[in-house]
Amino acid sequence: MPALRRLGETHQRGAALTVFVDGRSVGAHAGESVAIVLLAGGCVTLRRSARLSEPRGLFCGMGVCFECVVKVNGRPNVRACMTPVEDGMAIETGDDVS
Amino acid sequence: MRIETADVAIVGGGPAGLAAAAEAAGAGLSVILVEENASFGGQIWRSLPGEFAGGVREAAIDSAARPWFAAASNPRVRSFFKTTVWGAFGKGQLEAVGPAGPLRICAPHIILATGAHDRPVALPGWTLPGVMTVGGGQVLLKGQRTLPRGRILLAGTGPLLLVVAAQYARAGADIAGVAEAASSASLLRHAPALLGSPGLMLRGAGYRLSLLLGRVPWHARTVVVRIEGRTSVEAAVLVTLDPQGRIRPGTERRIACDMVLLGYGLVPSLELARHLGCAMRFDAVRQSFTPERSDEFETTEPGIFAIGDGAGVAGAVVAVEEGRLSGLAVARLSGRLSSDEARSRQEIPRRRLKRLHAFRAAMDEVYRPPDVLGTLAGPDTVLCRCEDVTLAQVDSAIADGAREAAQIKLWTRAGMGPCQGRMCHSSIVTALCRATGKAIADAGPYGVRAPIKPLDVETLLRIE
Repeated sequence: MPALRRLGETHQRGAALTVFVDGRSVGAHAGESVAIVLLAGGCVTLRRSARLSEPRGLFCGMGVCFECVVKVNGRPNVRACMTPVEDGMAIETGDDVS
Repeated sequence: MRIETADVAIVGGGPAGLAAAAEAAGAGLSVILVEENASFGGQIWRSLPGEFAGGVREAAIDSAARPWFAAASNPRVRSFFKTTVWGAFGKGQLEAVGPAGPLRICAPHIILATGAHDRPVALPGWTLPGVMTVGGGQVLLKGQRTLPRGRILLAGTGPLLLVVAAQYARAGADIAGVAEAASSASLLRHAPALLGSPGLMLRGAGYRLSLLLGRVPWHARTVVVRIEGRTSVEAAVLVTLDPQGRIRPGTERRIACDMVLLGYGLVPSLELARHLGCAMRFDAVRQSFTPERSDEFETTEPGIFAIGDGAGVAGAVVAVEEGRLSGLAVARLSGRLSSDEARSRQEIPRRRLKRLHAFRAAMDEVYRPPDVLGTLAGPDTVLCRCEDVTLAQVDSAIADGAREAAQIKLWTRAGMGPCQGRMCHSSIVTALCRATGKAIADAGPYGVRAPIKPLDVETLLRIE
């Protein structure tokens, strides 16, 4: 999957902030979802599936399918597509759904 | 635990829920409106997040949505955002969870406006990163103002596919092509009924024109049979269908792309209606279940109404009128409007719905999902994405004697993951019906039990 690009001018988006994706600092804007920030940063495999360990990414984008679940500030099974980023947020990808 | 009371509780703040809230509040009722997202609009009227610059956000709001956004700001409407209804136990009660924790909503009347999501179609490669639903693809653009960088193929059927393809083309996306399962001949055949709603047809023509001007390859009567790639999408394989909807031999072609957006129409989100005990029937043309409803959209459960795409996919224009009608019905049942007054206010929405009916029926026929979609999965194709259950495992459960969808769920774990069967139920029912000759209507739903969306134990412990 290709990375996402942000359209329009930077100042039209929310305030600039920083999140940590698997320990790496990544720039983001207030109002963006965790999923958008991950994809814009080139992180297209969000987790490995439970039994077959297949790569999985954002699928329904609207909170229905639970494919995009990641760990946010230590809390597992958080839907990246439904969760707005916050400054300093720690996001961990790659965990199996438990 | 927080408990909130109102004359009517509405679940879902899309076109249907907003219109219902506006009419009910306008008639003097107190309204609670519960919305899972951070703002109103649902999927179709999704706007940019509140944190984005005001001017950009304001300009992006759908003009059809503006009056309803304004009407829903009536002080008699109390809105709960980022709040999910996960169950219902007592009559007139809903259990929800929001940013402040658990919330119990008590209301003698409940209106379900839960919306719809893209019909899941299991085919080889559909679990690869880079495959998304058309609806999800629209969220990237409309809800977040982002666009994928690589080459994008869109495949499916129906108006949303066309709308998203055109929006992507206008935004400057690199579109490898659009594969539409329906034929232009079928569109022409239904032209008389479709032209009864010229405004909607004109909008469709405008989207088509954007694609022509952008030189986007359009493949009619074409479906994607397989998506290829090792760790993410690298190509999609298309085939042409014959007039009977079968795959025409020798038409297979491979199109290199980095992303595939799949959208074979929408299916209503019925979990809450099922959980509340509302009786359902199977709609063979739309290939989905729909709640039994009165002419005011009351379900078989007294006091519970179901409206909009969440009750049967018909688009935003229909959803608004269903919302108005049901909101007025609740106002009458609550004694705020006399029967005569309610009937007179319901006249316009009733007339509009009647006029839209022929258009909708024709659209449903033209964009009926072809049967071939149920035959694309191979033995190794994962049907249940949450629990990694393949078609071979489902077939083996059927060979062992499973005769209902719920049995397959128990034997294979398909449908037991966090999406609770929303992505796999239809594929499993298709496999079951193919093997046993059963009708889809008789294959049985998965049992719907609370929580209808996953709930963490921390929240559960705070419920009284």
